[in-house]
Amino acid sequence: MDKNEVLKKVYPLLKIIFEKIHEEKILALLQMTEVGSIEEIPSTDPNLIHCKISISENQSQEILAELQKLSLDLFSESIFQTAEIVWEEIGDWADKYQEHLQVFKFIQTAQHSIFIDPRGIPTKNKDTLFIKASLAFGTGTHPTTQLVAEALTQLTESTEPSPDLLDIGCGTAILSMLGEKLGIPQIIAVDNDPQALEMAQENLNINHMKHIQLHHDLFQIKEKFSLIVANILLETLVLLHDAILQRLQPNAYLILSGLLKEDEEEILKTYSDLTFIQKTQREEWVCLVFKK
Amino acid sequence: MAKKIQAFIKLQCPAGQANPAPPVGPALGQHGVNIMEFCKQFNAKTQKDAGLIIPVVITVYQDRSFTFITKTPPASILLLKAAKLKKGSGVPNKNKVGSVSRAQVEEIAQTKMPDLNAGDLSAAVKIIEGTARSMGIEVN
Repeated sequence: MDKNEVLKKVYPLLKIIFEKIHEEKILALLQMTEVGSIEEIPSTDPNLIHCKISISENQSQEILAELQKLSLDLFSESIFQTAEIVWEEIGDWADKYQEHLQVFKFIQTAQHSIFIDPRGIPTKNKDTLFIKASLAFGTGTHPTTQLVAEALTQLTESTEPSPDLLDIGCGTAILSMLGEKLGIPQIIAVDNDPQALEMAQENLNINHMKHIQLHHDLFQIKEKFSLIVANILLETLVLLHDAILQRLQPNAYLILSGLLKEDEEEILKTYSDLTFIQKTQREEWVCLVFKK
Repeated sequence: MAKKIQAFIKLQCPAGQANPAPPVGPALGQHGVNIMEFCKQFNAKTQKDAGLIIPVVITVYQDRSFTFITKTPPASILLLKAAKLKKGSGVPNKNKVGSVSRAQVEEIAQTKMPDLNAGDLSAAVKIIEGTARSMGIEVN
């Protein structure tokens, strides 16, 4: 699927209007039907609440009937003023915020100077990575991406470039592409989100990357690596501890981020079977480096 | 000088699982907010409450930067969780759908205190009991 198809995709949304006094009940019903995120749209009538709610495609058929039934079962009344399913194109909003972004300096050391162009329009500038983010994580603007990028560069420059790299939760593949720019010859980038992999593939193409393989399932990767980066979330990194350790060669380095300051202790405890090397911090985010 | 506010966006997102699919993407994208940056921050800050829907109010400034505050999950959702009522659990077609203990109500009142207009815990407990009653959940 090319990027235009991704962006033209339509999503089902549940639009409901209800009286403010029913807010708690409605939220309970929505929680029970396991819908996704809810947007409250400003209303001119202070007594009414308008909401747009994300639902999965396989929910779209039965969700209205299910909500009405639950409403009658639980509260013996229908508490929706109106409820309907609409299909909304994601249209151009995904690119809209990218329009405002500027080229910025991503890595600056004595040996490397790498820029990011987050508008994803390729030019011939070999020091620039073009990143289309759209629905994937990794625009390069987030402190955790920057911290991992700096740790990756520092490790590569202070020793020989690592012979390989595993990038877990690669998103746009921004860190893998940085790895290739830094001279790492063999890179596997893995993400379990199909939309992230689509964006990653597009980014690999527009940046003419040659050494990066994309993969959707960490557990199918059998190789061991001398360097692993994982910029995800505390809970995921705790869950993936065994899977990550199994894929580290002796003396390998591990760079973890996506972590808030308060997550540090739990990660240090979980990964105490590795040697903790360094911590870097920007704003409230930390990046931790370990050695096996 | 204080930054000029462009918009307030009110969302409720599953803890630790915000993603840019609609309505989150369009709601933020139309104001030029970096959608993934919001999702990443929201998920990191709420992951410990997995399974709950968390209300969040996002303030978007004219330079497209943003800040957000998360609120405590709605009392109704905490009550459902306490009463172990879930989809498929067979909701009886009567006024009483389940029950929670007094201690559970107090715990929910504690959790909700920051967002409730209640002077003390006993006032907060009364508010939570009222919500429970309106939902057909009995307090034992």
